[in-house]
Amino acid sequence: MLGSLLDGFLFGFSYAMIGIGFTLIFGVMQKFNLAQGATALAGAYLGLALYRLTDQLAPSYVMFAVAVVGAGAIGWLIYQICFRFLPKEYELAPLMSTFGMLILIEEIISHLTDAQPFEFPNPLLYGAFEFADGEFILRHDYLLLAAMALAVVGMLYYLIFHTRLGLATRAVSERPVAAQLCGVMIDRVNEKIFILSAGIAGATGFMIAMTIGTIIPGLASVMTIKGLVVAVFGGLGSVPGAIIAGLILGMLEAGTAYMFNATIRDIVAYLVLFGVLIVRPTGLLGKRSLYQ
Amino acid sequence: MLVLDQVVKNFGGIQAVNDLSFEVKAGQIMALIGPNGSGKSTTLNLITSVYPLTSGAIYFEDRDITRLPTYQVIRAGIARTFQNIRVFDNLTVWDNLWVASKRRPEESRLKSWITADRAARAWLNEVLKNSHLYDRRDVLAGNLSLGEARRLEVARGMATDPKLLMLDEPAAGMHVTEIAELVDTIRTLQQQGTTILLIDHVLDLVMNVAHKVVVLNFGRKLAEGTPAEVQADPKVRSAYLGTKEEA
Amino acid sequence: MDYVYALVTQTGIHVLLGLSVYTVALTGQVSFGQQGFYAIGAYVSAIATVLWGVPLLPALLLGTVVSAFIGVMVGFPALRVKGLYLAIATFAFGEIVRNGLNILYVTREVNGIEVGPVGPEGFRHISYFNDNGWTAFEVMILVVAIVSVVLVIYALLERSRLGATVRAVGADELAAATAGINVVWIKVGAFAIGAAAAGLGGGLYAHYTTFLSPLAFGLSVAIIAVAYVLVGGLGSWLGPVAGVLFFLVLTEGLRFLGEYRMMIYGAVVVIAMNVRPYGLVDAKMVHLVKNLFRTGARGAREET
Repeated sequence: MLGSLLDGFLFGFSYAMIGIGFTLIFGVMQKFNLAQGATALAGAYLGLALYRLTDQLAPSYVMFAVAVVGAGAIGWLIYQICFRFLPKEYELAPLMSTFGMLILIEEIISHLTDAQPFEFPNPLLYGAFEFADGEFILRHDYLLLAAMALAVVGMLYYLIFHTRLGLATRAVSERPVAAQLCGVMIDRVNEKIFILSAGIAGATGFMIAMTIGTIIPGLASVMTIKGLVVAVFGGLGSVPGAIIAGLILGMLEAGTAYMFNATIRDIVAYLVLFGVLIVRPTGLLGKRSLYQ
Repeated sequence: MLVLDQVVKNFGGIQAVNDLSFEVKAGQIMALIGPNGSGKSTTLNLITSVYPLTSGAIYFEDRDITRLPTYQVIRAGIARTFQNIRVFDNLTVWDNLWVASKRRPEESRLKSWITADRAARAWLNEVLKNSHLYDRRDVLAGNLSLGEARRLEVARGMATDPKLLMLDEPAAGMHVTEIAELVDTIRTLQQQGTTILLIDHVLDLVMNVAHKVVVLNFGRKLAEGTPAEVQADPKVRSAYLGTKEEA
Repeated sequence: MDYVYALVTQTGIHVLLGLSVYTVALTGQVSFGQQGFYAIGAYVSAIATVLWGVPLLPALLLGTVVSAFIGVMVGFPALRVKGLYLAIATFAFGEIVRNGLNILYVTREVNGIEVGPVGPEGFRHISYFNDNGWTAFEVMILVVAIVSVVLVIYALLERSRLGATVRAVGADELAAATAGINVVWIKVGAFAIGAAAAGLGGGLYAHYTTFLSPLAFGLSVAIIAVAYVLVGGLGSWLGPVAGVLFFLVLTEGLRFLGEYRMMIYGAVVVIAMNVRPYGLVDAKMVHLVKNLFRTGARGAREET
């Protein structure tokens, strides 16, 4: 059981990452990008495509780069189509629009791959640290996942607090109108955060596919849901909140799956979501400032 | 009729209303004035339960309304208008009033949800005519001119058949002629039996129409009395105009 | 001809789904969870006819009532939040229902076969129509009749004080409360009515397709239901109908694209949101059309 929890903890980092993607966008635009999970998946598929096109010779880190950059490009596209030209106060239209994109991307992938699952190469497949004669296993790939998540968070921290873009982002997330009056171009900031968030999604999608070992189009919806749960649970707009929520969700899921079965696990996740929304919509670390 | 008893409202660290007590007697026109930020609008919001009180109590006709939900405060007989006009843009003028009108006891509850019977329609038509909006009754409220929308705002308040009508800065942005009309309207309403609580800055309106004035400053009651008394009060003068500097 | 009957029947059922989202949307909230009530109505009425031998109309009624009841239970807590939060909360509800159906195992032996919902494998043999000799044509007539009655009720209510009150709440909750309206009850009431509509649709759906699977009540249904309203507009009950017809024409017109259909749905929603964010039949349009009809009658109106 403890092993399960530990695995859940580490895997929770991936949930945290998707959640961060959602929360970043909500922080600056007060809207959701429901295509976040689809972007993550698309990134992973792009990496896979490179792998297959090069006859399985491409090294993983190159695939990774392709995934991130590809996802970033898709993010840019989504921003243009679903957000840029829609009235700012109308939250619902972008929501539906990104939902449309989610379906679109998932369908395109389904058609290009005939909806068949593909094996996803995992260079760390059998590596693991073993403790207590195999009682405790810390998989290498999970550890890499966690390490990457921490790296991303570190990078975000640097970006938000030590660069001009970060300054602009914080300004926009607190007072969009005042920020505009100070010369901040909101569209540009939104766009860049979007691309950043999409890149993170691509990285996450890649890592998730890698640790699971197979990739199917259905992963997009799954990632979207988990990301949403995490973002809301942690408090929309709060990056630290998303991290904590991701880890908790990971452990919660692992625990319920261990004790019951997969369906109960999902029900629990949704009940948590519903409960949090009703009782404390601002989540764990609520939104006053994006980066407390 | 309306009694505020040591009402306090804190928003986080800010004390918007501090130990405020006053009474509005039935049939009066009472005005609440004070510089911006003195807590006037907050007081209205507290009376209609838009915000909960931090402490203190509010009584209406000897009934404790401190914790009543907004719609029940309204049904008890208090109506209010909003400073930034909040009519239902997507409904016609008629519907705006209809939705607010109280069911008369002899009308069946079920039926009142569907149509307006003869008596109800007569009542609404009368309110419409008094507000000079009868000709515009089929117009979408969103298409009204500003003046018409203001009248609708007041009319909707009157449609709830209130005993006390609270007006939140009704004279904002009006010029002299309009203010004179507003004075007439308020006087007429009072003569017909409605008690009025008025918030405004425009002293021309307030001093002309009010029987009694309460002056607020930083959430506290600064002075209370007839318009003449209040105007002469040095505390009020210094709050509004500043104190004279010793040369 | 059977093909046309099927089309009309499906359209009717989807109109109920659209109306379900529409009702809640009138109070200013969007629910992405109506598919949950759709599922509840479907399963409850199917269980009634298949496992308990209840005749069709009472079974449909039961499905509708149970949905409405659950609508009230879910509505009270859920409607404490608004906007995007409510959208997600309702979606979570829909998913809870769907997952719950995955672990629902209730079987009985009727006439020699084992019937009832079997978790993820679904619920087969919902053969009421077959068993009682209904033709495709008769099924269609039934659906059309029921949907017409519902639409008439909606049309009447829209001109009533209740209709105006619901829209007032949708326009401005604070102003509505200040007009003496009990906003909470109106919102929960609308939610319950929406749930009932979805439940009724679900019941018809169950007996029409004779087979239910939890898979059928997921993300796609959530989206399509909302899409009907978003594209069709909120101006009046015609909105969701227009939305359903719009997608119907699209689907049938693009039938040759076969499996690409969902992709097209997605793309169309994206485009529609950009071109007409407030839908085909929005409030301004309704008022415009109403006025066209009224200018003639205005002269004849009496004063009371």
